[in-house]
Amino acid sequence: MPGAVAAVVSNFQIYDWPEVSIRNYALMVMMLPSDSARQWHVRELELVEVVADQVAVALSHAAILEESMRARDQLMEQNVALDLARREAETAIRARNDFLAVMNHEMRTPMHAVIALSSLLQETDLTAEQRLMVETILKSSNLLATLINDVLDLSRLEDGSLQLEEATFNLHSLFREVLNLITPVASVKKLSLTSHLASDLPMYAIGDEKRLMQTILNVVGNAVKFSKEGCMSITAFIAKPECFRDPRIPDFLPVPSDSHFYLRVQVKDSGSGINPQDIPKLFTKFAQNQSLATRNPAGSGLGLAICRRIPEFFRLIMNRFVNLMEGHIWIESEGIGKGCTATFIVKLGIPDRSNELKLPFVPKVPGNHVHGRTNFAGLKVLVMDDNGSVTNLFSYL
Amino acid sequence: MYSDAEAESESERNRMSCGADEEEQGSFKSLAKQTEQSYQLQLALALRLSSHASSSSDHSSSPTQTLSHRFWVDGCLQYSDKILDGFYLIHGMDAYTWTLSTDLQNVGIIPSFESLMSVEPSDDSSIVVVAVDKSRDPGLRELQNRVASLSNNWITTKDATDQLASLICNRMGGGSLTEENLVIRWKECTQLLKSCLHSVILPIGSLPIGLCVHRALLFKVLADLINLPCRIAKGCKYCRNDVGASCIVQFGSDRFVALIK
Repeated sequence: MPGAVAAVVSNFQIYDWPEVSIRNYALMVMMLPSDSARQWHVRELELVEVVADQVAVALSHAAILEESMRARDQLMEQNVALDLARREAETAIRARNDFLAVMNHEMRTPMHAVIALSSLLQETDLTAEQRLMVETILKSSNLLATLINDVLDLSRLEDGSLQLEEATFNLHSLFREVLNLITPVASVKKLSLTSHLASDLPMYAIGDEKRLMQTILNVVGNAVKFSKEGCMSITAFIAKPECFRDPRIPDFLPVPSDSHFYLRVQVKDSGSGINPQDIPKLFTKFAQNQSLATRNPAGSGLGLAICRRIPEFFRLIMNRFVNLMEGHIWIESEGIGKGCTATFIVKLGIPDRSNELKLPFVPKVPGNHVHGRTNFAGLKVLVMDDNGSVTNLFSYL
Repeated sequence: MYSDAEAESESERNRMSCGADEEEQGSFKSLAKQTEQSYQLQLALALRLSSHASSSSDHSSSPTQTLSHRFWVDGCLQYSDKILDGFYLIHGMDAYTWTLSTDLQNVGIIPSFESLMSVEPSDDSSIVVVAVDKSRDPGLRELQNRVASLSNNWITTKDATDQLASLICNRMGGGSLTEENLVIRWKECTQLLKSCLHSVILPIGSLPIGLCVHRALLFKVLADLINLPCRIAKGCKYCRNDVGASCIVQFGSDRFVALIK
């Protein structure tokens, strides 16, 4: 018959190891011989309890250590796998871009030949039926040429090869130009248009004049498009950092310096408005709104309203331009029927004093202005191309 | 409106749109995000172009409106194009800006004649519309009758071209003005006419002064009347005008330019 028994029992539990369920197990058993007169003292039993707790702690530390080493090994494996996947993806993207660049050029040349020769064909004697066919060929080839030239080429916008111009331009005359373009359209649509340029807005700035104009014109044009009758206003002023607080873009703080300032342009319209909840994704998500429109045509109706209100391509391109100019673009609306305010902020350089006195060398204006008449009479022209169809073209003219 | 490619790529797009949105706001753009956005842009543009192309073919605009729009944008007319009553040319409005500012499917690729009729001819308005419509233009009718009777005496194509050109030149202000003066006279004249007629729409037969594009249009209208094959090409030898235009007359396989100045 055994004597008094004391056991060091561990209350050690690891919940993450399912195979080791919560159970107590004995680590050490101490036994007094049966014929011993000695009994376990209370202090000795207390000591056993303390040791048991210490052992439990040590065991759980060991378990954690083993677990973390296992996790670390797993992470290392995953990192290696991810790195491999990333490199594969980069290779694939590069291969795709190279392919597009090559195909782009290869497709352009025959496309231009089709378009040019079809146009010449139109000049010849054709039956009405033939004329209709040639017109269809021309319409389709023009669409195809635009897809090839513009769509495939969009990769340039992403891989950084799209560089913004950095030139001094007249900011005030740029706004005048925009107003000149938009005022006739607004008057036909019975929209009253007001504009205000802050008095502290510099006369000259450094940046990409053409693309800034494009951005303003698109934002303003979009506002005109969705205003029925009513009024519209365009305001431009220098963005002050203390007045700017947008929780959506917490990192963005337009702090001016000696060499640059932030231009803020706001276009307010009294058009159909947008539900404020739908606004956050407007300038970055294309797919989401697309699926809204196709999946809930009769449902909320808001998806459709958004898609029509802000054409997808406009959103993405404007976002791209504005981002390149280190700025932001966003829309605010108090709700359906309450109009919209589109605002964008872009960073522009400040010409130094000596530059301000010099006018820009060539005034840049949109459109096909012919600045001077050059006499081409009597000149001979040499045409070279690696594609025979292009040079053949000139023999017809 | 959207092609079939929409359906199969919808699931792909749903997968892509589930990504973390907070990343979009950060300034760091991973290569994956960049590629995704590049694809989105291309897809958006391709869809938009295709829908434009398909909608422009079934847009319910009259043939004259379509022709007016084409001339507004391209500045040229083919031999086979005939200028019918209802044709109009818009000055002072940029066609591209109109496209940007209009819901093309509902409103139209060109401001409608009716909407232009309701524009107030205030002094600030730069809009001038030159309309070709013999049913509302006694000046044009008179000119057409005169040309019809004179044309009996014109034997060769060259003869007809020269006579018609000089007739139009005399009618629209002569050839002695310098380019700048012509533009100034044109502006003054149109302001006056607009306030007289209380409209921005001016009938072509009532213009005492015409820029090269108006002369070219009038030449084409009258040339079509007497079956003189003529087309309008963009660009003018004599002026740097944006809307410069020249008439080219076909005689057999020869083409020569009608000198309307």
